[in-house]
Order: sequence, then structure tokens, then C-alpha cells
Amino acid sequence: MTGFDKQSPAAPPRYFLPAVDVSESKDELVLVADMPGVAPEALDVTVEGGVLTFSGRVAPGPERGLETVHQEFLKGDYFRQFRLPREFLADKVEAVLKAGVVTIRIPRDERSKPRRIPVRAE
Amino acid sequence: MAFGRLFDPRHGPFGDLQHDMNELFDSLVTRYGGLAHGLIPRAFPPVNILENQEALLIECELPGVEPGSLDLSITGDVLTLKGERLKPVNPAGTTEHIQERTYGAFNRAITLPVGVDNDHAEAKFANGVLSLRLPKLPEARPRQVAVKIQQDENQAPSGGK
Repeated sequence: MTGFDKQSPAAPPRYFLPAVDVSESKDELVLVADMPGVAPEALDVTVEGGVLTFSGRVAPGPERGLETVHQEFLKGDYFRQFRLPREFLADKVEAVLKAGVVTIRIPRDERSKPRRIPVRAE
Repeated sequence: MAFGRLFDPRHGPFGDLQHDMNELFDSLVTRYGGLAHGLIPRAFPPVNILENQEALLIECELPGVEPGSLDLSITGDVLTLKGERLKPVNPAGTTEHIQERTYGAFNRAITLPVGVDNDHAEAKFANGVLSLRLPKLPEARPRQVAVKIQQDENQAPSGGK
């Protein structure tokens, strides 16, 4: 699994890269990304040509008419892409968003699991 | 933020410097082309403070923190945020390829720039962002003071002798 570059036409001009955890079990590949401020309807998860893209829009906050006293984070849309290994089923991706954290699960293709080949004695 | 406590950028000696440093970090473009978000170690959780004449508005990014496990308190002019971000339990045999997210307990004390009315604080938690509205104490709100300027005849500027 490798990161994807910004050459993709889908990338917005300015975006934040969400922090991501990626883990792999014998059944699935799991990506967990922090996307605070993204509502479920503002999250997009797509798979195209073996590339998983997830992006989220952050609605403008109550900043209008308020003066900033102290700032430790900036707000903006999120975008990140990963190229999926072939042994995962890109058409069976599941995404769940909870409290600003998206969890994406991609099941492993059964056919790619290691198989034991019975050997016959002759 | 390395200091653990907040400086008011308008009054604190390091406020402007700190703001500039944050901007610098946030402007770091990663090799993937996007701006790092949550990838640069700093105090957790990050906090923004905004204000108008009546109230302070505090926003805090807490993705993945259960609202029920968040302990929020205000004592005097110090706001304390306490909680824990739990690491998900993976089944045995899981290989972790990337870990950019951070986990663990946090406890952050923030000195508010003005006195607030604790009894009328409102808190909202949506999509991993905590929003707090803290009404300012009446003495902390700006007041219009009428100033009368007296013109002294003798001091008035004159065109010459």
C-alpha cells in the first residue's frame, strides 16, 4: 500500500491530510482517519481504478462576526488517497463515520488467501 | 503548543511568536501535496478561542473522544479539558502498517483571557468538535464611556504671530 500523489484530478486546490492508521488482518484492511468537523453527509469515499479516495468538507463555523483570540488549528476540507493492493475487494468497501473519525473496511479477496495444496502420494 | 497554558496574543509576550510558529507548522506541505493535519505533534486537544462583546467561543478538536468520557470544568478563569482517546483493539494477527493518530489520556488547563460566567456556559459536541460558549462577566464586557474633550483657548493652534 502506498500513498498517492497530488497529480490526481480529484484533489482540491488546498486541503488537509487527515492522520490515518492502517492495519491489516487476515480478513480485511482497515483505515481509520481523523476528520473532525466532517458531518456524515459531507464525507465522500470512492474507489476508482484501485485507488481509494476519501474526502470531507468542513462547514464554516461561527467565525463570522467573531474575533480570533487564540488559534491552534485551521479549518479546511480533508482529502487523501491510497492505492489498494489487488488482494482486497475494492467493490466491497464499507465506511462508518463516528465523532469525526472515519473507519473504512475493505474485505480480503478469498481467492487471494493462502491455500494448502494437498499432495497425493503415488 | 509547548507552553501548556495560553497566552493572550494581544497581551502575552510570546503570543505573536506562538501564532507565527503555528502558522509556519500549518503551512508545511507534505510530500503528498496536502497540509498536514494532526500529523505534527502539539498539545492535544488543539483549541481555538474566539470572542465577541458578550461571550468567548472555544472550539476544540476531539475526534474519536466519547462525549461521556470528557471531563470539562471551569474554575475561576481556568478551563480544564480531561479525557482519553482509546486505541481500538485489533484482532490477534493484525499487522499495523501506518500509525499517525495518537492515543492516550489528556489533561489540559487553559487560562481564559477574560472572566466568564460559569453558570451559563453551553457545551456542544458534534462530529468530533467541541464548541463551548462562555458568556463574559459583565465587568469584562466593553462599555461605552462618554469622554468630553475640553478645548483650551490658549492652547489652540494659531497660524503665526
